[in-house]
Amino acid sequence: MSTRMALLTAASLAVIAGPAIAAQDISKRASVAPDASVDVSNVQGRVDVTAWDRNEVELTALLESDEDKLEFEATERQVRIRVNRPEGKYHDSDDDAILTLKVPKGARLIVGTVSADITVNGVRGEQRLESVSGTVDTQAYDAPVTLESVSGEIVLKGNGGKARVSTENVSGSTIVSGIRGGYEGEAVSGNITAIVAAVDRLRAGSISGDIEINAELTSAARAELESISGTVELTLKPPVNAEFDIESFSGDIENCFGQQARDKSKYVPGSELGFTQGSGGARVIIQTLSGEISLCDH
Amino acid sequence: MTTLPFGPRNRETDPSLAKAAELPKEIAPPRDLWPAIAARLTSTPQRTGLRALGWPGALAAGFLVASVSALLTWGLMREPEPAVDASLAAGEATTVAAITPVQYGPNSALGATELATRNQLLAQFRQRLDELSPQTRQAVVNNLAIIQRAANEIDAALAQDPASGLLNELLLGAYKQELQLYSKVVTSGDGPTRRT
Repeated sequence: MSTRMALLTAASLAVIAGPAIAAQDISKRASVAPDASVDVSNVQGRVDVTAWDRNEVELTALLESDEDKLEFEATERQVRIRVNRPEGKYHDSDDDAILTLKVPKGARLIVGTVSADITVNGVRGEQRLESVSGTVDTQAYDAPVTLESVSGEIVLKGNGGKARVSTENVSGSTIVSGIRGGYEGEAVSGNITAIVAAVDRLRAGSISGDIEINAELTSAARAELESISGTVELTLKPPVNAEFDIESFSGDIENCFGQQARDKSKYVPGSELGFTQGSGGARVIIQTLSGEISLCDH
Repeated sequence: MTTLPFGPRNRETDPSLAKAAELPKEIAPPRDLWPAIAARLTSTPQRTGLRALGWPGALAAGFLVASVSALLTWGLMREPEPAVDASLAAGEATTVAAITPVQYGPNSALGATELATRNQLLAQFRQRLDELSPQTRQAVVNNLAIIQRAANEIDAALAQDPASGLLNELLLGAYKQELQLYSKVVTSGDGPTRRT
């Protein structure tokens, strides 16, 4: 083999072997309590969490950069997992860190990421999931769930449990379904879409994002929906027994229950609509500045 | 010489009275004054700024105090900030420097004290914003502009109806959203961006 050929071969091998050497495959495992707290933070890539029947936390990490460092600290009550990225490479790198976790079903889960997507399956303990620009996708059972993002999408699917769910988003959309306990959602320009069953507490607010809620209200429910310029659309599952207090400064109010909105005053803009449907009980308050309001039961 | 018959004894011939008779019997005020009068009657004399907004104002003030307290504590607890990536600082400093907080108009009940307190968050907010990706930073800037537009719309509406409970509640909602946006940026990704 000529010297030139040998050099070419060596160079080719180096190119092929390069990424394999740079990437880090790491596995960790720890025995924990059934309701242990699992705290995860990552910058970029993914965090995938799945619940299992074992009282163990298992982590499989693929760090594409050899400069990233993984911290894994575990006690019976708490597991802390953190991907540390060198200075200056925390958001402008192409290297992902992919964390795949298995945790006890009853674990309490806290996840924070910058651009890494978060996906959670089957965790029944309390969840607090935050991402700056990554998607947050999880399920809710009976324990509280808090989801926050700046520009990432938030998706939550309930399993009919009584979880109290809270979401905060800036520009990303929020889609929540299948919960029964209560829901509070806020957004600036992001849209909020929620399908909730038999809730006793429902609150959603936005600046310009549209709010679309399909809900079944308990007799003691209190629902408050507010937007500056976004459309607010509330569809209630019949039979509807509620008192309504609806007001808009300049937005139209549509009501398929029949009552018409009236001008609030002879001298200032604004329309309002107040009425009791059925036997009352639940209370619904909707307010907008210029956003349209639509209220219906189908 | 002709003497014009002025005065109430000459109603039929007095030209001034004839003109006056053509005026409408009632003049409606440009806006409903009673809500403002009622609000003043029921308010305490020294109420200013957020206090004038009653319990929603108290809630917002509580939120503000909690936010400022939490963020200042967070700032003290946080590890020292390393220098910002030079490429970021050079290329994107203009965007960050150009960011201004939401300006609430003259008709809003937010006083200088509340806004000064809010402005204390801005240094941390700007520093943190610098650390976000350009796309996320742009999303934040765009949404601040959306809140600004909302504040402008509310202020214009308040000019027409200063005593509106609806408008004051919406104003507080916008203010709260602004604070939450700062808070979210300041605290977001705190753990992940803590560098080695």
